[in-house]
Amino acid sequence: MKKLNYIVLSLLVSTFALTSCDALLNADSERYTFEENFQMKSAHDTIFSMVGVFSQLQKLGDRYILLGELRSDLMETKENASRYLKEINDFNFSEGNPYIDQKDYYAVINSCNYVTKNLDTSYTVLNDKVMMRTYAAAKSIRAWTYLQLALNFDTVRYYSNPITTVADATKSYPSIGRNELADSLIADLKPLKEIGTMGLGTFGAFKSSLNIFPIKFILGDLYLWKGDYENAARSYHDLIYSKKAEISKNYQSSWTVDNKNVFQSITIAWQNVLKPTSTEVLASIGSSSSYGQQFTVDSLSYHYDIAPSNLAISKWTTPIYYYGPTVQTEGDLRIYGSINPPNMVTNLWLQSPNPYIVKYQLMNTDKEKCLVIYRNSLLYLRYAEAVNRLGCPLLAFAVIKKGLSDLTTNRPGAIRNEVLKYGNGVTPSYMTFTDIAFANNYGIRQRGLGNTNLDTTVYIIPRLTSKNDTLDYVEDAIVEELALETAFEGNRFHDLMRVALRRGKPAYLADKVSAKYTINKDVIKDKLMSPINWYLPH
Amino acid sequence: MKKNNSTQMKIELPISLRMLLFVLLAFIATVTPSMAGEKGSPSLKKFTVTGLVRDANTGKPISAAQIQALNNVASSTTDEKGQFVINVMNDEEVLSVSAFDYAVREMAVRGQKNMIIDMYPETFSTFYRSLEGLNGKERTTTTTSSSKGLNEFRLPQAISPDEFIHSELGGDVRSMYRSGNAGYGTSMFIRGLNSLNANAQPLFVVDGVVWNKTSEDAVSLQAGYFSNPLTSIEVGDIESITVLKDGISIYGSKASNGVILIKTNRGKSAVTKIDLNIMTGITQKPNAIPVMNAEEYRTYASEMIGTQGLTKNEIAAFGFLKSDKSSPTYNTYHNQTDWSNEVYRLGNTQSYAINVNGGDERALYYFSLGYTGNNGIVQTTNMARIHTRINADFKLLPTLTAKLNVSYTTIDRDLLDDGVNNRTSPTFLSMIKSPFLSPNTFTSSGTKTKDYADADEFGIGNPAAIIQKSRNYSKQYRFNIGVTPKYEFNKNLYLTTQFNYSLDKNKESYFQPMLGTKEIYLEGYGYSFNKAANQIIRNIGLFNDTRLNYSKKIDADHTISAFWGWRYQNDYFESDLLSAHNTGSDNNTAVLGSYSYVQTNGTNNLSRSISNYASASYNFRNKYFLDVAASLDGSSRFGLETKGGYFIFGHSWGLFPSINGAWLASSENVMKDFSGIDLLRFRGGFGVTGNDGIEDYATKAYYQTVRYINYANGIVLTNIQNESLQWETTKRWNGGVDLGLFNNRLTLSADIFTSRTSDLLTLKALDVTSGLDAYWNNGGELSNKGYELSGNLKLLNDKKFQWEISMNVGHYKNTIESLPEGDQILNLYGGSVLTSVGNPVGVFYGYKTKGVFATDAEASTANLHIVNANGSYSYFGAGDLIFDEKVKDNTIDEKDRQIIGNPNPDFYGSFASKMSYKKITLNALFSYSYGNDVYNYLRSQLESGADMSNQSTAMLSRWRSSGQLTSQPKATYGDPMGNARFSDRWIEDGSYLRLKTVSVSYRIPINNTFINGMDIWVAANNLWTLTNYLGIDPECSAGNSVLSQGIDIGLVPQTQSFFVGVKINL
Repeated sequence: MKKLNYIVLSLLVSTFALTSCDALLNADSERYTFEENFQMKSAHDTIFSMVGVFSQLQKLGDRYILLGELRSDLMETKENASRYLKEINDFNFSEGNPYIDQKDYYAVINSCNYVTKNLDTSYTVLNDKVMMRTYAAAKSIRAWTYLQLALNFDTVRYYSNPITTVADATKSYPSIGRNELADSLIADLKPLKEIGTMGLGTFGAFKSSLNIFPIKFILGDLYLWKGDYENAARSYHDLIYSKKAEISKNYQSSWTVDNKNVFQSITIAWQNVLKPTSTEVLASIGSSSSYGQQFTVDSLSYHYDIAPSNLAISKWTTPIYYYGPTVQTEGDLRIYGSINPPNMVTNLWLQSPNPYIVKYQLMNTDKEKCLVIYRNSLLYLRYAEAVNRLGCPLLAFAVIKKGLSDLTTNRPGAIRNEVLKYGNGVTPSYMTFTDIAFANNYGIRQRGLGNTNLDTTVYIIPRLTSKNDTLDYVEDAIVEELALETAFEGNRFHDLMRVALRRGKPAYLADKVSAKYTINKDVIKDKLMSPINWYLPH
Repeated sequence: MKKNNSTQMKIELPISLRMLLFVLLAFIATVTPSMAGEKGSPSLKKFTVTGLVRDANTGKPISAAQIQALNNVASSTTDEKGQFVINVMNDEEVLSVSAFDYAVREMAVRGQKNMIIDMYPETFSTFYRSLEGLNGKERTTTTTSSSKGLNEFRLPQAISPDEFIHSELGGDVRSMYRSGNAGYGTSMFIRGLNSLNANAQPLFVVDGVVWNKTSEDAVSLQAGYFSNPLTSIEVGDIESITVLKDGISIYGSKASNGVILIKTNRGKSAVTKIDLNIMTGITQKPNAIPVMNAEEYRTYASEMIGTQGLTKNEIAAFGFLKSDKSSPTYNTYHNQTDWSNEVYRLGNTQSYAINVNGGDERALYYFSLGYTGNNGIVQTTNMARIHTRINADFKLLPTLTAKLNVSYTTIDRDLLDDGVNNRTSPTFLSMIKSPFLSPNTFTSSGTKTKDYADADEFGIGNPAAIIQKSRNYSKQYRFNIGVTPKYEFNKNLYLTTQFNYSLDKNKESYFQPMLGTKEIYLEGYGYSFNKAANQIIRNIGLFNDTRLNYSKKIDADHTISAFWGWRYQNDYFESDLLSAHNTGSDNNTAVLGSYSYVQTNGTNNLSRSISNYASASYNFRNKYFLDVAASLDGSSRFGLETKGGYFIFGHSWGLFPSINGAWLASSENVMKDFSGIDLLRFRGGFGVTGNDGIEDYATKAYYQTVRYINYANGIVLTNIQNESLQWETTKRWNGGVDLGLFNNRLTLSADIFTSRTSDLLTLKALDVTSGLDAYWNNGGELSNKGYELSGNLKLLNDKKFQWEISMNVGHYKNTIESLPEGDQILNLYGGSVLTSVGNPVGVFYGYKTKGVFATDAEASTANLHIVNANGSYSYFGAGDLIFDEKVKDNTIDEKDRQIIGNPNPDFYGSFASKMSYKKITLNALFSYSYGNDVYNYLRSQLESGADMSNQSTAMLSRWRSSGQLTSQPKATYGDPMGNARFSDRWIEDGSYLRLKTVSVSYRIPINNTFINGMDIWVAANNLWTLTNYLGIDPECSAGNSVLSQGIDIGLVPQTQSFFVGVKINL
């Protein structure tokens, strides 16, 4: 019967239609690009699609910050905040909370998949496989996004082909955990780590290459989460070397001391490290004042929906500013550039009634808005975290205290001995800093707390009973330094999570985070004692 | 349940197919032998009928009446005694009788040898007539499906064809005026609401060309403006309008919302005729919703200031609170301005048209040219339309003819924003603007100047300034050219092909001044002081319809006709928008790139469709009629793997069959005994139609450009491919009966229908992994059941005085049967519309209220609260509304929403009276709608009590002191408790009965070689309305979508208007 139907129907179709029915029924569009016309056979296609990826990535900026910080000890919501923000702060999510939507993450991943699957990587210009850079860029953004998903949701759904049809969309993709994901991503990224960064020039004051996360950084993070500290250290070091990433003196905030003990004037330069002109930013997500996704963290902070916790403020107000053995005061100058303390130098630690976060303002220009994701300080601190766990706490501590250079690591002394011991008599390549570029490396703490490199009482590693205690001590110092240096930048919660998981002590995270609450402290602590609550519902 | 439906559908389609095949085969089987035996025609004995043709009133014989046998070639003429003799083939013949000044009548012989045929004057309408159908003119007795038509137009003052449909076919097409402005047209729905998210407006076929009305749905720059393509048809050029509700499967995938055929005039005879039409009229200002006067408002505003939580100094800064007469600003704040006078005026209309009709044996032509001008009731708004049309028919060869249609219309309008819009709409501002302010400024000595005042200290704009400084216009062109050659192979077979090109272009310009408007902050941009924008909308249609037509009268008993054809449509739609802010001065009204926040936007859609269609009709002795039709449609909008389609030649095609039959029972010989029944006809049918009004490109995966950091463009995936996306399918059963009683004094028609629309276009949620929200998919069903009745009674038939009344009524019950994605809530105009299974489409979903808390004690007993955005609670107190709790948790939130209204009417329609006395004719026409609810969005703004805008006088009874019993809640700045939220407070019964139009015309007796006739007429619109609706006009539509019906967004209402005109035939 069905066959007969077709015969009758075919007869009904007039001969007019037979002639060129296909052309008659196809409709093109000048505004939309269809898949069949978008095969990335030209450089233009790839540029447009990468810019498309960048614009999708913009949607993740706010969430990176808010999910990473509001759940940590450093940031909290205020009365004005929306219910949804408060839910993040309280680890208690309701359906429809836009901050726990996963869709935008997968939109980035899907776009990247489209690029990597369709790109003609063999395309060359003057023997340069230019498309490989685009390929690597898409892979790096994809990997970073997957890592964010895994850190926030515990498991991810893994796929590497683009979803462009309903059939694709209704397939079930395997749900995998963080370690399995890390393995897949490492295998994916490793061959690409030496490929140069794709550049699309600058958009206003924003360098487009900053949108592409350095593969070596992501690899380092993936290894670090897996507990493969050697490969983590190697990857971070690789990046430090290839980028000649230094902790520069140019970004030091310092007191000028006269008469040997009177603090005269203050130089505030550290905050410039966050500005678009900074030489230390490795990756950031760019947006603009007119088009695309608007980042809201700046206005949330300005409208006092989110604010630094008292705990965070006390982290800057209590450390010792070390000028010399006799000239000391309290206070980390990195408070300038983090929150808005009163401008009076003499009243530095008199709290402003409504301290708010100024970091996000600093990241912007008039027209462009940026959220810094990776910068040199974070890179060095991650490196420190890795080498510490390799058994080199002195090397790790030097990152904080005096900076890594040939002078600090290679001069006969405790650090050199420690490194040699670790390398069985040879300095591993990923622990050398002989390059002249690092000759002036500063300790991260030095840029806010004065001459800590000279201190012998406060900023030292105490003699502890076991090596393990020493490693934990240095790790604590690194975690503390991460708070002082990278507060509100989005990485805090996951830093605490990583250390807590490493040590197998949920209390490490639970104690630190619950300390910021004035009410419900115990409820939150209890909740955070089960790692399952560290992840967002989905 | 979902599964059931889909399997049901799968089975059903082959059944309908089989049915079609069966019918086709049966048809061929019956026809073939009779064709073979054509030569030796069956020997039927001759039958002789004698009769008398007489006037129905006087009984006087009519001489020279033409009598024609319809089944066979035979005719006769009456003698001076009105008597005739005609020899027909058998006693089942049908006679058609016509006479000068009398309406045509058909009479079945029914075995009678002697017949008396009563004829009614032409002033009465008649059932027996020819009406434009799907394949040219058809006699109404022979049509098998329900179609209603107009070829007599009783609204001489109409500007757009929509107005005829609204008034005279009110029971067949439910239509609502979009606005009282001239030519904005109506939203129309035939036989219920046949879609949810796709187009639900009928298909318009004008002179055989399918009109794409996409431009109608384009978003205009001007708030409250609808560009109505139908306005480009001058009503004087229309020969007929036909509404087809079933049997329309040859328009297959475009027909499920019904088809309206419009046919324009053509040259009729070689005698040259010239018609002149001149009319002029005035339109009254509306009776706006009464608002508070200056003193009432002053009290209200003072109270409102107090609820804002301002400091003493901030309050003191308000100028209107200063009562010191010596203050330099005293005069500024002590006026009595009736703002409606600043905005409205008496509108007027003029129209001049000439049409010429004539030719010779080689060519016939119709030519018309005209101008229609209208000054709207809102100051400075106007419309000017110039139209011209040439329809020509050429006889090129004896076998080859050609039709040519050319028309060109321009419509220029000066516009203003309209509707609820608290920044730029003068009509709305005139209601909310403080009456103690003046449109003009005052000098420091308190003297009034001629300068316009800026926005006031409450942030409310000055409508007078906006009217003067705005530069908003629309220039619309429609050009149409079509040619239709026709080749006749022989007298039974011909081939036609119709080519048509149409261009519809609309150029809009918008300038919103800074003087008189309050600046606004655009999120992410900055402050906007003024704004300029341009938009060009272009809609180009290419159309071809090629058709092979065969008709044959096989013998006295059997007549067949069939056509087979192919239709192709190519529609290109483009809109380009450019807007910019802050031009620096109200003198710079053009958009330049150097201004702030320049934005460009647009759409660019191409759609193509092919329809292969065939239709066959069979008529046995003019008693039994059978029509079958089918089309097989393909469209660029359909996917390649549709579930309901057939995959042929690389595309997926939808099949849309229909079958209709009719039985003219009154022609049966046994019916001769029922002398009171002159006409009895049963009709019935089943048809499948589709709706291809889905978004272009929705089947494909596509990427869209996004702007990135001011400097770059990127493309992102915005839609994923869904090759199964297809048309919506409507299956409709209908049955009908036509009845003529008491010598045809009373004619009645009744139709019932039941339809089920499946494969509803719905958005289906996607899994998060795709990175997208949803995609268009087919799923869900809805049904419509209803009836349509129409009747006509020749009440008085006196020699000089004739009176005829007619009525029509329509009813439908719409039910959503299934929704694969569950209930959906659409928020629009501050309200919510619920789509849920078991309910009709478009119901209002909001809060129920139970009065106002008189005292705090009463409120605290009820202990109701809301949850604020920051999670804290606010409790309802005295003066707040008592919201009904659906979920008893003491929290008033979204869970407490209920169905609070239904915009679908119980019934609707119109009735008319026509009286003729000698040469004077009086027509009156009422239209009505009963049982429909209206969401009065306008009133919700005028009684919100939430800000400094002026309020309607109903707010004078607002709650102000403890213990006060009232239905109006207290006024609090910002409405923190949401008393003005979407609730049954704003839902009203929108039933009405309106005397839509009255007209009197007089035919001046002229006997002149130049002037053949002259009619003068006067007419009035909207003279009287019976309604309980609190708004200005219960007849309202917020747009064409089914989900935006019954919402009064405060557009210019229809008001009383009066016209006088003359029609001269030369």
